[in-house]
Formats: sequence, structure tokens, C-alpha cells
Amino acid sequence: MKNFAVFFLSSLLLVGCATVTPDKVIDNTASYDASTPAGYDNLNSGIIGFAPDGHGILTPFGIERYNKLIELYKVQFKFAKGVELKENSGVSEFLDKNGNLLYKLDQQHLVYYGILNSWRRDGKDADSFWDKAKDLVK
Amino acid sequence: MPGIGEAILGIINGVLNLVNGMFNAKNTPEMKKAKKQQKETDHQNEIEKAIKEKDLEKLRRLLSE
Repeated sequence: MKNFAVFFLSSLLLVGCATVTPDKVIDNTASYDASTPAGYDNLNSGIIGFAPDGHGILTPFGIERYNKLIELYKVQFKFAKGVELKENSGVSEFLDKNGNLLYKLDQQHLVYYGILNSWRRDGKDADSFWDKAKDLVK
Repeated sequence: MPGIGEAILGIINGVLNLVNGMFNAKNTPEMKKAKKQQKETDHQNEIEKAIKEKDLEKLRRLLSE
């Protein structure tokens, strides 16, 4: 009887090992942007389109989000990629044909924006006090 | 009969140890780090490709909140 109990409990443990981890949820749609000027699709994740020179054209909220991500991960990004990002790095003003004030972000910084956004989506912690202290010492 | 029970338990124990060993081998800190770096590189390549091809829909998905 004792052996049977041990066997039964062991079987339960074996079943318990087969933990199923759900697949990561991946967004398949662009996010809503309330700062989009009239005449554009506002499900745009903050990016209106591309300028003829290849730069991305971003909405005011798009640039705000980009700057917020820089603020969150500035030090870790510097250590990981060797690039020091500052507020509005790679940003220039852009007026569309209707006179709406939008912003252009160069291709290199658009890539950085994507990387920072993926960090945020993956739940990466923002720069800690120690990250900032290390940065000051170096 | 007790001998059979112990044998079965021994086999189960062996299988569990094997599974545990395999799990640990696949999840060393170095391997986890390498996997994470590979994922980041793939993601970066995807963004660069979307920008190069001016694939707006793809870029919007990659930049969504």
C-alpha cells in the first residue's frame, strides 16, 4: 500500500512536469493615435508614412512616445548599442501639404525607435539607479 | 511485489532526472542570453527590412504599443 502511494504521488509529479507555456501574444494591428491630423488613418502607431528621402513621418504623439522610450532606456541602449540617444535625436519638423505640423525621423533613428519599442513590449525594466550611476562613473 | 514497485519508481526517477538534465542543459544563462540576443537581432533586421522596403503596415505593427 505504501509503495502504491509513493508510486501514485510520483505519477502526479510527473504529470506536473508537463507545464504548458502559452505562446507570446504578438500585436497584429497598429495602435490608435489621437494626435493624427484629419485626413489620415488614425490606426497608425504614430507613423503617417515615408517622406521622399526615406525618413519616417511621425505624429506628435509618435514623437512623444519615442522620447519617452529614450528616457526609459537611454543608459541600457548606450551600453547595448554604443549609441547615446538624447531627446529628439534624429527628429526634424515637417509640414504636410495641409500645413499640419508633423515630424520626420531619420531611418537610423527609426530603427532605434523600433528596438526601444520592442524592449518596452517585452517588459524590459527601465534604466535603474545603478545603470545611471555606472553611466556617470564611465 | 515490492521489488516491482521499487523498480518502477527507479525508472520514473531516472526519467525525471533525464528530463531535468535536458532542461538545465537548454537553459544555461549563456544559452538564454544568446537566445535573447538572437531574438533582438532578428527583430532589428525585421525593422530595417520594413524601412528599406517602405512597408508601412509592417512598420506600424512593429511600432505599435
